[in-house]
Amino acid sequence: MINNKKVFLVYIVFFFVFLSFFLFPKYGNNTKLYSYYTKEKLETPFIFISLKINNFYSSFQSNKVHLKNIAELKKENEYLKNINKYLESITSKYSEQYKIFHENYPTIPITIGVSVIGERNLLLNKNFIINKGKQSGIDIGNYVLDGINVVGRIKSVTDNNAEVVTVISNDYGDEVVINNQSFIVTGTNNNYLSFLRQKNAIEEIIFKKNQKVIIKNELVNLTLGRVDFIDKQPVVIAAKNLNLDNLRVLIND
Amino acid sequence: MIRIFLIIFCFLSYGNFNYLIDNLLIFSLINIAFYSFLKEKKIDLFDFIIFILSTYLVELFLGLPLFISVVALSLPLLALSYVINNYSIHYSINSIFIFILSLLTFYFLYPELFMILKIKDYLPYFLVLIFLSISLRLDGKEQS
Repeated sequence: MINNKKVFLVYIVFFFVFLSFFLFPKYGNNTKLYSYYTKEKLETPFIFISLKINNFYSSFQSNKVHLKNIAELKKENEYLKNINKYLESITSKYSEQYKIFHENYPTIPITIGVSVIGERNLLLNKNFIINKGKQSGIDIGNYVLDGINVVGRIKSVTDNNAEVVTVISNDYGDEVVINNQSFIVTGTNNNYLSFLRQKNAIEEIIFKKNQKVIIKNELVNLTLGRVDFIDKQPVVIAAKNLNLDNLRVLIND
Repeated sequence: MIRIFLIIFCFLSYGNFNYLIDNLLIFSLINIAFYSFLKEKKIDLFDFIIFILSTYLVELFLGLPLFISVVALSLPLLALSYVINNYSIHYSINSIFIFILSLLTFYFLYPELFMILKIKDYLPYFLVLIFLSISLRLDGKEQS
């Protein structure tokens, strides 16, 4: 039926490319991430120009209001700086005491700010791509946070990009702690996660509504959501609309 | 060339607007793919490459396995093209057929979307139908 040799040859080539991507998913994932990297680089000048135009328009519209706000904020800033100096002087003696007892300061978890490339609505695809990768220290399995809750985990990573599987995705699974007991939960493609369990293993444990669901990390405890009930079955409710505007990746160093 | 430009436009603008425009872009890509494959009985290399490009972008944006549609969809589409192009059907019926086929594919990819969309949200989709029939008509003139 294919009466064009070139088309047939191209078809055969893509057949084997598909087969290799199917057999070795890592190559498929990397191809996806490199495509998004190209997209990000290509759209940068357009976004830059549109931002410039937007900024110019908005600054033109609200210049006076902003000047007034800036003056107020400057005053507030000075006041806060003074308070900060005072608090620093008060707490300095406590930090010295802490140093004496613990010999070092508490380690603060390292996070880096990232932004999303491509779709942010998560309607068609429950995973998303971020604009930082291995070069920024991101690795597979790192948690992505929206400031308060866990949004997802890194699924695959290249030098400059990474794919994040969200907590609401079917592909997501994690160990959580509720009331000092460990459970395994998995995403459902809805705004809740269900418990994976052995038969009759969970019936003895009584969950309470709104119990905090925590993921224990090396340095810090992360909040995944809260316990709720759907048809009398316990589930973990994640945020209804994941906030993808101010994301941070927790680096395990 | 217009299709290549449209594909690049879809590639760059996807994700930068609201979900209605994102859906329209995906729908346009599906339409471009079907149009390239079904417009002639004997598919040429350029059309086939456009088909690969547009389906690749759909797979990329929707998180599907890459190149699955080139491999799995090409053969049934070839048979369909053979059936459609063997009858001398009016170009408007052809364009409606491609439009409905794209809509069905879109529905198959994400059924919940049709519950979210309101009737007024479908209006831009008819623009795609209009452009489809115009391009089929122009293509027919070029051939004759």
